[in-house]
Amino acid sequence: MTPLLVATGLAMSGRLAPLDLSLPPGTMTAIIGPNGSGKTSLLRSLARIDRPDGSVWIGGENVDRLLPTRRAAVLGFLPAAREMIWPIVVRDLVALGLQRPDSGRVDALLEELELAPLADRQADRLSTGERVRALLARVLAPRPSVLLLDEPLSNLDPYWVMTILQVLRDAADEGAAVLVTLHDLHLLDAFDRVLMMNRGLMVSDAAPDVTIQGSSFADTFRVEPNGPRWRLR
Amino acid sequence: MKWWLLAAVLVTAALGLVTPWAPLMDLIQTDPSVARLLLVELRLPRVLLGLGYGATLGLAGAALQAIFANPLASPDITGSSSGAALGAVLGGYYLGLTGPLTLAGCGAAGALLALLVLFGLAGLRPDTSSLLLAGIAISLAAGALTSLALALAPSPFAFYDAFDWLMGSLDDRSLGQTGAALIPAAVAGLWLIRHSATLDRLALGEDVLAALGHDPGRLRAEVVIASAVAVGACVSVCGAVGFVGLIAPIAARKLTRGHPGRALIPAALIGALLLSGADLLARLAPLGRTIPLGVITAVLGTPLFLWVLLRLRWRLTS
Repeated sequence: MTPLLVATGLAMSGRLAPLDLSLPPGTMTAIIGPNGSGKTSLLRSLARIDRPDGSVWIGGENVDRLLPTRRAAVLGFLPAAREMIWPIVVRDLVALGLQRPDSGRVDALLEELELAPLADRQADRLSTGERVRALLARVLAPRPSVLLLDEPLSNLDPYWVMTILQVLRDAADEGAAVLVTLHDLHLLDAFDRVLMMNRGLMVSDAAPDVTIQGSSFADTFRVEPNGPRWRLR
Repeated sequence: MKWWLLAAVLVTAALGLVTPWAPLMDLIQTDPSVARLLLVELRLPRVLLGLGYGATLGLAGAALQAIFANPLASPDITGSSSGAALGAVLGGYYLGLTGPLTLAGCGAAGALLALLVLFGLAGLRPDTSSLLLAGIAISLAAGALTSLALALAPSPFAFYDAFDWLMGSLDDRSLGQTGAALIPAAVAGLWLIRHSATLDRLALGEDVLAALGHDPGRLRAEVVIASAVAVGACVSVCGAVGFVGLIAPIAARKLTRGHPGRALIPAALIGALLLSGADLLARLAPLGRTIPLGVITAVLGTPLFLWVLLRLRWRLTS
């Protein structure tokens, strides 16, 4: 399949060793790795934050050359930081993702992520889980073809984890490439492909079960599967 | 667009032109040419400065609050007004740069220096306590240096002049001075307004802004320079006026449902309204003498400032 995203020579000095990556449309990919392994750096360099080396092409367009109006339709980025300073209500927050007003799209997203009852609540007064959903709705609003999400499933109840995974799968089914950093390795099954990072290097790129069985998994995480749990090596 | 706000600004401006009413009426009957002089040479600059300086403070305050991601950032709290005053005093008394435009340049340089020192002391996105502490430190230092500069100034009248000038006043400014303050302020203000939509998106964080293809560092630099130019030019002509730049954006965001960027134009209108209103009050106060404008805004603004601080504390502790 023709890749949707092609990245070459991605690198951030001290944090990410040079690597190439391509993502086909319609797939969900997880980035895993211990704390400080470069997961977020990889995601940020793909989102072109902090002036990273290399180049990223999405649908044949060089992302660095795209104007902000076009970039929102091509690339959606959810940062790990969730704090909101300004008292913007949820409905307006979601609309900030759009280049021009589209209340139908906003309402649909509020429904999908069960935010409708909170639509007029200030985003700075939401719980962590509610805020993640509101910020995710903002990212999804312009239907970007590539979704780069930093820890969208952390600190959530199982119900919301499953709901968000379903929303992401729906986006993938519509042709998006979804790339997510992930801490909870029990959720790997929900993904088509897993990139494993360790000390700024990509040490494995494979299907979830292959990744967990692989020898580099235990070296990277210093644990090994033990039934449904982990045990220290 | 808040048309009622614009209407209120225009009414205040018109009132400013015809107040006080009696001498104007007398002159129109006895000597219309002097009445014209009174309107054009004395009252028009005052009204324009009230509107323009107020709008500048509102705009710069709103833009600085957006860029610092802090509702307490403003030209006075960040020390940029005091920095501008210091710059103007040094330029005027020591460098002999007494032309209105060069003086405005000195004010802008002082304001810019103060903002750069603030970034150095408090960081790029300071929390409220760092912002206030660094701002107070800069204001105190700039105030002390201004006093020292005035005390050592070659001109024996420096202190006397400076009372009228630096405490914030719109009295007896010429049309030339008005232009020197307002033309740079207008250019810089339009530059700030150009960034309204981007400043709204900055509410989502600098990383999101960068991912959307903007350059947050460049945006910050442009906002800081434009704010310094606008505030510096106005301070070099009218002196420092407190609180308008803090209160106007906070009120404006009530009208824009919390959006920091779209609050820029309403903040300018509210600032213009507040400062023109305060100037009307200064002229109408039945004390037999004019009170410096900065004193009025400080007296009215302090309780509002304390209210904002208390609300921030309630929000943080609740």
